[in-house]
Amino acid sequence: MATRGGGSLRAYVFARLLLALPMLFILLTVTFLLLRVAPGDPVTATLGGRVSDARADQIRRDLGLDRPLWRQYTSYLADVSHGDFGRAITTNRPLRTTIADRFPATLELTLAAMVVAIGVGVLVGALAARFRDTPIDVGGRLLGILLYAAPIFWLGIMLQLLFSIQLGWLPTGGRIAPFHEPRSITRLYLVDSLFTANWAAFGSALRYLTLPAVTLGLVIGGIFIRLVRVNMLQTLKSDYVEAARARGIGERRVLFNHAFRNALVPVVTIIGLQFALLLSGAVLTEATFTWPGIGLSLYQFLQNRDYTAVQGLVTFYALFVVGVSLLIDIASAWVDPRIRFQ
Amino acid sequence: MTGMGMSARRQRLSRLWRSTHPTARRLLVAGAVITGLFLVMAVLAPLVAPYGEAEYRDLPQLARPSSHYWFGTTNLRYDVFSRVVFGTRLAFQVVILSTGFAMVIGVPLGLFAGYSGRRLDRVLVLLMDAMYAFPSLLLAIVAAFALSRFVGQGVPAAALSISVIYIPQYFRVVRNHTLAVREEAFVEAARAMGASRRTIVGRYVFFNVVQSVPVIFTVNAADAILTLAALGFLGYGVPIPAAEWGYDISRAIGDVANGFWWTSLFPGLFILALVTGLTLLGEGINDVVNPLLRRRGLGVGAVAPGALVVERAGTALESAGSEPILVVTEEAPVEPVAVTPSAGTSPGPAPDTALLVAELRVTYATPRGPVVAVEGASIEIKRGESLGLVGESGCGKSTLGRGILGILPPGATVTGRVVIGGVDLATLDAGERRRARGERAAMIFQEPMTRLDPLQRVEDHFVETIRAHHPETSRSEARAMAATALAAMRIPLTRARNYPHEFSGGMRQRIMIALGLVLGPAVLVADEPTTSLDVIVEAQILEILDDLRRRSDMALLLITHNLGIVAETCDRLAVMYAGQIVELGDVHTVFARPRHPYTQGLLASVISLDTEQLSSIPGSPPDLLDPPVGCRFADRCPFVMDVCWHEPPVLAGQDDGTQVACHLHPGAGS
Ligand code: SF4
Repeated sequence: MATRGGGSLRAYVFARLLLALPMLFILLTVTFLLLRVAPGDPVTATLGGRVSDARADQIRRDLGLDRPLWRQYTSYLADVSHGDFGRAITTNRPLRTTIADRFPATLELTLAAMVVAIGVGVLVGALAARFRDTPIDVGGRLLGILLYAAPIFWLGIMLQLLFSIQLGWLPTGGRIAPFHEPRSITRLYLVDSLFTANWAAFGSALRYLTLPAVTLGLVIGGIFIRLVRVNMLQTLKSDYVEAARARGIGERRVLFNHAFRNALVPVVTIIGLQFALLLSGAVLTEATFTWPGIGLSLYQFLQNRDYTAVQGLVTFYALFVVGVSLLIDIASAWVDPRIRFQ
Repeated sequence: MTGMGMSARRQRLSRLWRSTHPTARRLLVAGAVITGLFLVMAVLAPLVAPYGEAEYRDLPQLARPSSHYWFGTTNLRYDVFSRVVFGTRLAFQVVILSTGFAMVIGVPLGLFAGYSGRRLDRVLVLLMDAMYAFPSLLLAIVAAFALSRFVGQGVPAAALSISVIYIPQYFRVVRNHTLAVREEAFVEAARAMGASRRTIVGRYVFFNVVQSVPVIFTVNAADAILTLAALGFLGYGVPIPAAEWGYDISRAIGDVANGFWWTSLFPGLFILALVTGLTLLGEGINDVVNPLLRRRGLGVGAVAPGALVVERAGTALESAGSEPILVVTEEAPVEPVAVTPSAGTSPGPAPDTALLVAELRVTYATPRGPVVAVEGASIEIKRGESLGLVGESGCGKSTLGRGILGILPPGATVTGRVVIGGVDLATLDAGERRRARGERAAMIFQEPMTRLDPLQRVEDHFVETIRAHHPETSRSEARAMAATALAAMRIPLTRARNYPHEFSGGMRQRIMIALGLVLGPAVLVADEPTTSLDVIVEAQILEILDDLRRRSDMALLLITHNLGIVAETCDRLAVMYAGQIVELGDVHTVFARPRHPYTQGLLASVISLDTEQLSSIPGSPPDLLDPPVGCRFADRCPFVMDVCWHEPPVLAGQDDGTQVACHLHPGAGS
């Protein structure tokens, strides 16, 4: 019998924050352990015989890799806590700059993919549930499974083959045509070109974004189809839907206002869980379409076996994942008043 | 002995199999066939593939698919078909190894954490949760990257990197089962008998976890194949010369730009097909194993709104002179009851009749065959009168209530006649029948906690209901009506904009009543309205209901298993058994002189044990799939006679106005 108010939401946010910290700590520790506690040292592993011993020693000292492990560990945690992700061995650039440069591209791609995924998932999933056990349902379910089963990079290549190579409609890779970049505001090209009314840039950005976003969005959408369908089946046979029908509410209203709205609540939370999948998928999509985001950087650093760079980027991913799951939880507490009282 | 056990078991399995949904069954078979084909291909790879996995002797470079090279050849003069066939073998190797690793690591950790509890458990749970939250592919990449430094690359390294993703899953399942069983009483009991505690926990957990392993395994296998391909694509899978699908696709990117489509198409198609097969298999197993789905497969609680099919059931019936019947096959719980249009043969209800139900029959289609849940039930309730409908759970009393409202689940067929407030529902069109719900008849339910939409404010339920019936009403008018209705139920007006979860059970039931009454229906159907409430609240709700029908002339159909409530609240009583009404009469008369042996049993159980359970009658009701020919109560009846076994008793009026269906009383033999 609690009353509704901002205070309880604030309390929830606080409690949820307290839960996020240990998880973050554990992720950072695991990352450090996996990448550092291997025999040999990262510089040799990365650069091999490509530099002189003296130069290698120099790099080791610069990166602090000559210190004992536990010192490296504590300074790693300290650095991360004020946003320092270290330096790449191969480029000698701070990873913070790499991330700052490339994050907007990843964000733009994942947001666009999310729009595609939600569109496909909600539409097909709700239809499948509404027409349960009809051919529409079976078709929707199969589509969901097929989309999930398609390797992202392969789907991307197939779409490139069709739309770029065969039809020539869309570019195979990159983020925008050369010299078309809009003036930077948010650094999301679509948004910036809209703000500055730069239609040439907008068109170009949209053309480059379409294939990667559709590729990533379809694969994630496959999962959404299933989730939305299952949730909608649950709400369709829920007590309140039956009660609404007993009150003579029209079927369309029952479907949209009661069944559908309630089905979306857990979907919001689950989208949070799928965010991890979205990030994994983004790495593959960016590598396929040479989309200049963090995933492409990770791919390039992996090719170059750059240990400190991989560590820095993975650390960033960890922070990002924990942060997003926090945001998603808060968002669902905001949507569904029941969560706050649990 | 064993043979018989086997065949009984097989019979049970085949019955279970048939009781599942045909679509689920077909998808499962499809998944099993696809997976099986791939498995055969993996085992027989050297026989199936015309060339070795990395053999390029004198093959042409980038040859198109042809009769020689079915899937074409690659840049490096490999035969694509041979590569993808060997890729199948590699995929299965990695899948089996990686799930094996995950179990070998995850299961003992889970047992250990669940068994030892305390701090270590908490740390492990946090660690596993963190790993689970992290993007799985990135986790595998980091593992593969780290491993590549001191193990190198290859099948074991790839399998180990992938297994990292699944360790938390096995850990979780095992830990939760271990934790659940650790404090169980039977562990103590078995220990007292000399068994070691660890053995018992181990055995219990083993049997519980083993059941979920097939599903987890297939789901993980599908995921592992995709992860392996992704690792290969990124250059951290199993390196050439091994044939790995993801790696081959990454090599083919350059071909695509020049229009060579076959080098990338076929490996991807193989991944797509195998992962689809495994997913279908996993979901299929889950659908069969999961008892929830199995029950849903019976079609009773299933919801699949579809178009309503109204059809005349055979002109033959009409010409045969029997009552014309309009059959409504309800594929959607959208439309109300199917009704016999009064063709002048049946007498119309008296003017003071609020509800007339005649020969109502409800059939559910289940995979095992049709079940007649309500068999020819007829009741009549006058204005301001209340009728109690009692019986054991499953006797069809709730189905009867829902049949009156026309909100039965799909797969239910309804025949018979329902007249509410003088209006025969059969004369109404679909829209009018929808509006009849709420306007002519309202319903309240057993569980008030879940009957209000959790995302809507209480007031919005009223506004929605009112405007669904009277679209011309403005929102503010509707809100004013809501306020009046709530005030009548003593819900403070300040709470009108609260959400349902902010109310207690009793308050919610009062809100449901207010919501039911807001349009002034002639009949209120109350299905076990107090069963989930405590005694004080129960008394409150009953008083409200009683008061309502006295003051507003509303008829009340009170469905309950509690005879005490009927005695307090109702004027008349109908007793239902196995889908049929067996006794119907004035409450005082029936209580003073119950005629049907079942009614006698019910009353005896109340009087002697003062319990709400109707368990003192030995035996259980018959299976409605195959109801007995004669009296349905015969095998539980202490007075059973020969005639009872082959002749169904019919409801017949007695001298004091009571109606009884029992051969012990006059008129039952038709
Ligand atoms: S008809 Fe026969 S079996 Fe049925 S209740 Fe009456 S006496 Fe018992």
